[in-house]
Amino acid sequence: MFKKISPFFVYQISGNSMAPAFLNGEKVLVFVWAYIMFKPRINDVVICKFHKNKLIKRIQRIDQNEIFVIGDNKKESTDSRSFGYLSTKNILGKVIFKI
Amino acid sequence: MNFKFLYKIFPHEICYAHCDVPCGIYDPKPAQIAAATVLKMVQKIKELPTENPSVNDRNSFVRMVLTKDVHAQKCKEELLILWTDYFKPEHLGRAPDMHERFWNAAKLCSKNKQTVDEISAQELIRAVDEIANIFSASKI
Repeated sequence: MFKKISPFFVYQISGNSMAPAFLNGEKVLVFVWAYIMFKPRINDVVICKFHKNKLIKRIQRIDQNEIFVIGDNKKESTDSRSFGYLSTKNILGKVIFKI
Repeated sequence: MNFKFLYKIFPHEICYAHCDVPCGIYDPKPAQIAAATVLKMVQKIKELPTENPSVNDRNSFVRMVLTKDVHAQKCKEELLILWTDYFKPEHLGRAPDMHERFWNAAKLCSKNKQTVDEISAQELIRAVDEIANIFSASKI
């Protein structure tokens, strides 16, 4: 129940596509309600849903209700360059800081 | 300031920052190399002196056992990737015993971790080679 209503979530990162800013195994605090009042902005690091996975990526472009997300470590990242734009509905929250 | 306590307060999950889309690149070669390494290590372990081993011999023994274990595990992981990600139900038409072959090969990986047995290591190489043949046939 708390999981559903909690405004904050802690995510543990698996993988290196956001290196060097976010490394494998690091934990980040995510504000789930970040985009209720405000719109996503370029360079925001977000947790987004893609199929059944939750990905951590950075917003590179915004086009109406769609976002183009990429990993900081482009060589090791599968992102909008391969799967295209994601709907803003897929955003699960904004990364606030590393814990 | 340390914010690690937040991990205990708020719900937590895993998020992925790596290749989440199947890349479609599969190859049995890593499994074959790992299986060959297991055999080589078994042979090298058996060549070590059993009476009055020197410190270097003991060091080599530990390193060889470790390498054997690591490669047996790697072989198993590579096989499981092929089994679960590459092969599809339609491949069973050409190789109806595929599941059994993978199952046996994975079991052989475990057996090679448990024992230092040349016959088991050779069986593993054979099993992986047969799977590699099925893989090659599926590409035609």
